[in-house]
Amino acid sequence: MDKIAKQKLNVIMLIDKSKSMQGKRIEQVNQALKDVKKQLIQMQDENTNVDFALTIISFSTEAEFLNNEKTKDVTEFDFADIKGGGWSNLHLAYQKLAEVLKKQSQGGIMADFGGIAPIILLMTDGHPTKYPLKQEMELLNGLPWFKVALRYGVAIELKDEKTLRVLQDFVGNEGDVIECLDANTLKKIIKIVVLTASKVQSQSTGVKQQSKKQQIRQHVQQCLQEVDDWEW
Amino acid sequence: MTKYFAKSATGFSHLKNGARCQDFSCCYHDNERTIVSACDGHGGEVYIRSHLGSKFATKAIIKVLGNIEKNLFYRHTRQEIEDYIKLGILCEWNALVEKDLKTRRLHKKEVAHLNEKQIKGIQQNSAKMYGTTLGAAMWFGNKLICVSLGDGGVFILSKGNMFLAFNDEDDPVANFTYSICQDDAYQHLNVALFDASNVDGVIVCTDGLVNPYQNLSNFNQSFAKPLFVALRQGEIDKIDRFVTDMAQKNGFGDDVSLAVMIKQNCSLRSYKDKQK
Repeated sequence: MDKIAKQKLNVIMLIDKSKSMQGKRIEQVNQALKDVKKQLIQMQDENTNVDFALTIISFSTEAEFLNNEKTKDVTEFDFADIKGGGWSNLHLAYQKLAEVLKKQSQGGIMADFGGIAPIILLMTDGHPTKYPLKQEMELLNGLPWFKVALRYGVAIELKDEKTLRVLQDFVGNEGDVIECLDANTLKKIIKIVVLTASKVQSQSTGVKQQSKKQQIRQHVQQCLQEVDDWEW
Repeated sequence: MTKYFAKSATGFSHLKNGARCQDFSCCYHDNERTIVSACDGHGGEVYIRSHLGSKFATKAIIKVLGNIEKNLFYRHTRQEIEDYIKLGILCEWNALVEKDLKTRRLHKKEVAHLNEKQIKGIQQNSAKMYGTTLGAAMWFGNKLICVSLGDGGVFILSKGNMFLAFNDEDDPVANFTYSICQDDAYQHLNVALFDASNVDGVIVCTDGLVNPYQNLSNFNQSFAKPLFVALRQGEIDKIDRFVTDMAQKNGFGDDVSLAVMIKQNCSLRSYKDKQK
């Protein structure tokens, strides 16, 4: 009667890799992923409560799990650079997300018992091929793990109201959509959101989830205001 | 012959804060039946009497299940029996809460740490102070009756395999739970009747015990099977120590409760052989 595991915090990223993401934008995403991995490993070493696991869903004409793996412990996560090209079929990414936001005994990646609310980050630079995404959002909103998740959206150099609305629907009332006005700051923004949310979420697991959500939002907003000076 | 065991232990986060154990567990055994129950009083600020709430829940369960007679199964449908048990437990628990409120009126000291909104909330619904989850099982002839409300779990052991008595995909996750103090508790209280002939044992536990194992398969391999073997072999001290250690050292700091019963005459092989 042993083998007690630490709690697992799932960090899930939905990454647009459509044609418009080619060049600087996808380059920044790839660099951010490598940095996030490094920093999460360090955070995990310093934290006795929590282990981090990464799930990366990239989407263009198709949506796929990076390395064909639904989830991987951050220390074992290894990935080749994501390349841009194709359409922006966000609805397929939502379907993949619904697949993982289930209990392990039901084929998903979330804990069967207890568990910590996951962090989900969706980033896109253009309007999705399918619009509206009512059906897909209904599916996600019906999942208990989606309801409790900390959800963020990053709008990359986006002036399209429709897509902003899609992101707003995704994050709901308790999440935030962050506008990245210059692709050169994308890497920093991804790191701010993922690392700040992971740090706060992994601490003091006894704190009520609702107040923690507020805490995380405040921290992220603060860091974003000082994005030019921000260093992790 | 049935072997049974129950224990609750205070979690290290509660010990650190000088808080009392809010879990309560117990066993009941007579010639006809064995009942095990484990309930988890909520830890939030407003649940100031949840240590009593969990105790009342086990009392209510034992009273209702303990009064069941064999003819109930001949005269009523499965649905009627389940509804009868649900209603009986909720009425009994609420009666115990009402009685306690009458004998020990709410004192200013008890609510000194709460804000105005919280105090108003418990004035409007006094039962909230006693909020708890609820888990239980009863062996009664060839029937197994399982009861559950909120997190934690009721697990059925059969030939080395383990099943959740209730598995609702829509249940809350990540430390959110349903409670007996909710207005719609009846909707969330699960009662189910099973054929007990293939059942080797039942484990009822609070989330402080099951959550550290994270998934069903790990819980079965690392906890349920070794527990079954230990109880079969009469290693009560070992189980007792394990529950205390889980609460004070190995777990997530929450209170831990375990209530378990097993058939003494079933085969040990499938529980020993499949251990990793």
